[in-house]
Amino acid sequence: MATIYKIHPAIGVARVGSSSEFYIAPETGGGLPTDPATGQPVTSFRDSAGDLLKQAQRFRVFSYDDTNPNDPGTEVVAGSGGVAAIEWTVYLANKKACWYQFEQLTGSGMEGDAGYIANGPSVNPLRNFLVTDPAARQAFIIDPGPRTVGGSGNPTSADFTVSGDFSNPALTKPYPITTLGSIQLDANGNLLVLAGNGASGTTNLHPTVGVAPPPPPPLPPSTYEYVLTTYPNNDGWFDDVSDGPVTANLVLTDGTQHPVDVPAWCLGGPPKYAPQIVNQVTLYDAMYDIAVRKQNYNPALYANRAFNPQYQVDFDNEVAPILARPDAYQWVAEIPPQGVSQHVGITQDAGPDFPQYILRSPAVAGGTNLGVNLMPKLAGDNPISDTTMSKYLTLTQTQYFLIQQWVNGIVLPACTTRPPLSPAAALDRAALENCVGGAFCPGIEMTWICRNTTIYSDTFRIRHAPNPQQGHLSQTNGDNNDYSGGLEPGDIVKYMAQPWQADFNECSNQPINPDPNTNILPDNIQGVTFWWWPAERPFFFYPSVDNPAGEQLPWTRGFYNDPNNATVATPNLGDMQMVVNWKDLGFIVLQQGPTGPQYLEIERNTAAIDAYTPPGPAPQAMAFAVEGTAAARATGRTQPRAIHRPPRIPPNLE
Amino acid sequence: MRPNVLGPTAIALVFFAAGCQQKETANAVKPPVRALKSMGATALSPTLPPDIPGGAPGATLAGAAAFAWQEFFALNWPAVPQNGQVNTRGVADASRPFGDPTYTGPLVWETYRSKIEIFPGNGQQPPGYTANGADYGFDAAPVYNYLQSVPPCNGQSPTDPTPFVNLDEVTQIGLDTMYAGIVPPAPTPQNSDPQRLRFLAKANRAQYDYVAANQYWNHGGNFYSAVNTYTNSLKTNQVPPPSAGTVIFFPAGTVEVKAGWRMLAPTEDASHFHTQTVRYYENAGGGTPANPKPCYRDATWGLVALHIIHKTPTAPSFIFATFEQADNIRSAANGQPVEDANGNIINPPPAGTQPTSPYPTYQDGYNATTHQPDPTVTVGNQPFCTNHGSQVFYQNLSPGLPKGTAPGSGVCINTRYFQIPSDVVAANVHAHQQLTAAGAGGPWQYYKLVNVQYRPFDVANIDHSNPNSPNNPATFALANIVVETNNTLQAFQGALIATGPDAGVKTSYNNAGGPFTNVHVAGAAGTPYQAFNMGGCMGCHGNAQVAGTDFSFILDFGGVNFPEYPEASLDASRTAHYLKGFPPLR
Repeated sequence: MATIYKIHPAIGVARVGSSSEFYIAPETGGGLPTDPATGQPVTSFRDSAGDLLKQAQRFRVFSYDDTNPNDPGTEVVAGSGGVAAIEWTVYLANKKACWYQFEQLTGSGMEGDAGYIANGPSVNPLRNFLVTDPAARQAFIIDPGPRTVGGSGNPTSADFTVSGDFSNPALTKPYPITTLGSIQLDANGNLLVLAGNGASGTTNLHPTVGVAPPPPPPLPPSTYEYVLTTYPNNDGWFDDVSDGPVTANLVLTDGTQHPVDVPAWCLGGPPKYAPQIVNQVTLYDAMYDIAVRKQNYNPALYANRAFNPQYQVDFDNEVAPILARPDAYQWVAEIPPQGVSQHVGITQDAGPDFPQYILRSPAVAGGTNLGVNLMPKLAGDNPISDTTMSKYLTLTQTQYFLIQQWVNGIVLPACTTRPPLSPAAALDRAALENCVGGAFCPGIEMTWICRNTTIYSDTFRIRHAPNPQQGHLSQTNGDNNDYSGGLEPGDIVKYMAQPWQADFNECSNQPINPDPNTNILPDNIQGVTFWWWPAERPFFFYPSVDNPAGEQLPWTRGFYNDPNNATVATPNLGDMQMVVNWKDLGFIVLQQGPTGPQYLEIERNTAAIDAYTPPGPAPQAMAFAVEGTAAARATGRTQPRAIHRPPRIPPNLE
Repeated sequence: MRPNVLGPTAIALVFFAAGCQQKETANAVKPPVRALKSMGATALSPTLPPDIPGGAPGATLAGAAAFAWQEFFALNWPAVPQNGQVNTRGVADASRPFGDPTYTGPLVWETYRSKIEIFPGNGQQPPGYTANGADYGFDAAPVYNYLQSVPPCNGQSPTDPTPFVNLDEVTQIGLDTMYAGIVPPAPTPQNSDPQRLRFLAKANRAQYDYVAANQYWNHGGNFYSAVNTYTNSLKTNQVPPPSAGTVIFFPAGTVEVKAGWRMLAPTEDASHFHTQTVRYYENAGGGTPANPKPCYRDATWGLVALHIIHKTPTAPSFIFATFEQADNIRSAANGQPVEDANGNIINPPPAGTQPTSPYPTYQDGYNATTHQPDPTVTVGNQPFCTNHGSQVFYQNLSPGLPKGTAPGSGVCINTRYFQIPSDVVAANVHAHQQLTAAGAGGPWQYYKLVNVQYRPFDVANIDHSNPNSPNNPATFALANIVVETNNTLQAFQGALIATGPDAGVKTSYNNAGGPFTNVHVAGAAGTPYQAFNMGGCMGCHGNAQVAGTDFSFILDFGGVNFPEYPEASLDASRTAHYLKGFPPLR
């Protein structure tokens, strides 16, 4: 028998927090994080000082009998079973500032797009493209190098301390980047990866240009010390989310070492503010769809480039979770009453025309641009520009097929289910199931690069580039959309918004032009409101268990609204406030109300939000007075009924 | 506290809308001479009455009935030639008399926009929409843009003009299907289910203008925000101030119409019906349950029911009136009409006959364990009706409603749950006299007003002592016998349960076990709403008000994805679709 060792979850997710303390990432989909001391679900997301806890991702090692493909695996615990210790090495980095600007699907090489290189810099410019010196651009990479804990001679914890202009408080405002997080061991020798502090800052102070391509001629220096003007690309900015490989060596009791055969990867991201509400399409769903259709993961379901029409669906495990998700959205978005009824109903009585007339089909050519009246009412990968449009989210092709099978009655016999996942595979699934799997504009933890099969060494496993070296991480790896040489630290989060808070603030809801031929909204068309990711970034919520049927309020109430066309002179104060106040927002958690369980907000630091002061003049009152109260208008601060990301004209049309 | 329950009495529903009075009367310079001669309490005029004289709150049932007949005259007036030009749809041709026997074109209400013309299934702008044109292009010729284009059925000419009467509903809001036993049941190549009644919903210029101006046709614009603002205000029971944001509130003059149509039997006298070219939908074949394939046919059918709901300055909760063809209810014994054209019983069933065979019993209830209303409808051991004869009958669809198991088994209609009040009968007599005097009897003398709801009142305030009281039980339970026929709809109050084993059953409980109120009248900002558990059409449409769409179900539902056609495999999803337009029972 040959034993192989794998790290689980295959892809873990650490989330930023302003506290030095942490909770452990949920190990079930839609589960609460757990207290590291007790192992019980947390009841608070803040420390005793009120700071927001980080989410630590726990990684474990499992051993497998390589001759038994059905071996569920056995967890390896340091100090038992012949294993003296586990030596863990993690290498986190952030390449956002030297990568390409995020332009929705443009550059992805998917959906008919030619990819970064073929598109060229006029279509896919780099971030900070005015800086052309290779060494200076290399310095944009936040690269602390690898850290190792456990084993012999290594510490039990290590910090990803970084240095550069971005870490200098005199040069970077409002928050310098001093660390990308840390790693430590738990009591069983498992690894805990902690994300950064949620710090974001810019060296581009009192800027004259906000984002490339710059508006010629440059404007006078902004009266604001720093500005944010776009949701994904803000030159001069840095944040402290990161990603990178997780590897390990087993230190055996005889003193020898055995490298873990199958390593893992850790993603970084913002907090998930509604941890128990599952996205309609999770990152697991997105990766599972790729695994099924392109990696021969489940040949009984899909083989020879086609779904198996005889596949008997397991309703409880393959369909019911998909149908149950929309109902929970009523607690994080202003779902109208008729929508709530519809969402409740589809769990019980979806009829035979359900896929055709309720769900938007992912299999129809151009389907992501059709069906404004169909479900889900969630924005797609690109409802913003006319280049590579994808207006509306669809279920994955696999999700859609499974529902069709159920509707057509092709189900497993009653009282039968497929075997459950092994504990290790369940960890893989859970970590991804608590992440956004669409829309990827760009997303929250990871973007459309998850659909690129070259990033995988195996299903759900990121392909590692060999021996990444500090100071020498590639600026161009993947610019041909080919990762067959593996990914380096920072190669996943580099696609995400810079800084994440700008996208996080703006991606609440989105007015979409239902015209399938264009995303540009004429002045006389308001568009149809779709939501982005309310399961992670709530939009509307119910405030209190004492008021279960009461008024639903905006989650970011007290935030500045977003101007339609931000500039360095009139920046997006909502985005800028999110850089400061992200850590003060409330969490939406399940509580027992008078008539049943309800997801309600807890632990909001309203005083801190109300105390926010922009780094420059407050806007003219009426300029932001769309739908707020009179008092809000007087201060330029509104209760945002709708925070719209303005449709952006693509660069080649400007 | 247990809410006051109406018991086995009746109520009805309507699903429609309203219009711009000025535009509707733009060409109506003055009524024709024949009409002027017959001016009475119910003047024969092409002008849609703006309101009940003296206001709705203080009106009598007789006054409201006269108003309803004025609506009926104006809306059934011949329309001006329909050429797509400005001010043509919904505009009466004052140069023609009411009931002009030489006129075969569409009537005023028939030229209103079908719901699919306001809420396209493809999510695009309504056909003919122009942002800056008159009334946003309301007058454009009819085009029915469902999610997928619908082809003509085999043998149907694709070049025929598009009829204004577009029958894209085949159920009574998914609760049941309705049939006329007098029509031979055997399918024909032209009609797969000849006995089946089909339905439509339309709205006038005022509603279209409002929807178009706010870009609500695909629930766009600030639809969600407006709904949220209103539903929030109901939760806190405070009329919102303007600073809280926009709420959906149609202007006075808004009209919606719902109509029931069917094939006429060879044995029927077609001169007793208003007939018109209608478009109806059939299964094109070749589809699958998950991918149905409708096609359309055009034919001349008869009008059997007409609902009118009309918002006026003094009736913010709308005025609901319903008319029927005279012979809808026929005797089980001899097949002859039970009522005359005025609503008098002329052919009563034997003593002791229940309104329907079988006659369901209804009991509301609440389950404190599940925190859910728990009503029950049953027919006990009563047999279902399989020998329909010439009677109209229905078959329940919804999970919570009793159904027969034998083929063709349904519930036959013997009488109404509530007789038509004598003041309404008198209004019918008077209106028919007006028609006769004007030489405009024709088919219209065979239509009668059943009742009219003109202001809300609570189930607790039904006046059982006076059948002509403004609060009489028949008015509370206003229902059309062929549009809102089953036990739920003939005796509606409260809300419909949208899902689960009791789906389709009405209840007056909310999920907390308290009373559910369905109509809310707003006073000054910051004050509590005046709330009612109303019955019938108004109570049902009040559920759309609770859902934030100001009594309009067609706005509540939004985009119409596909036209309905007879296909049993689709019934369950059709039922679910309608029920889920009702708000949660909070």
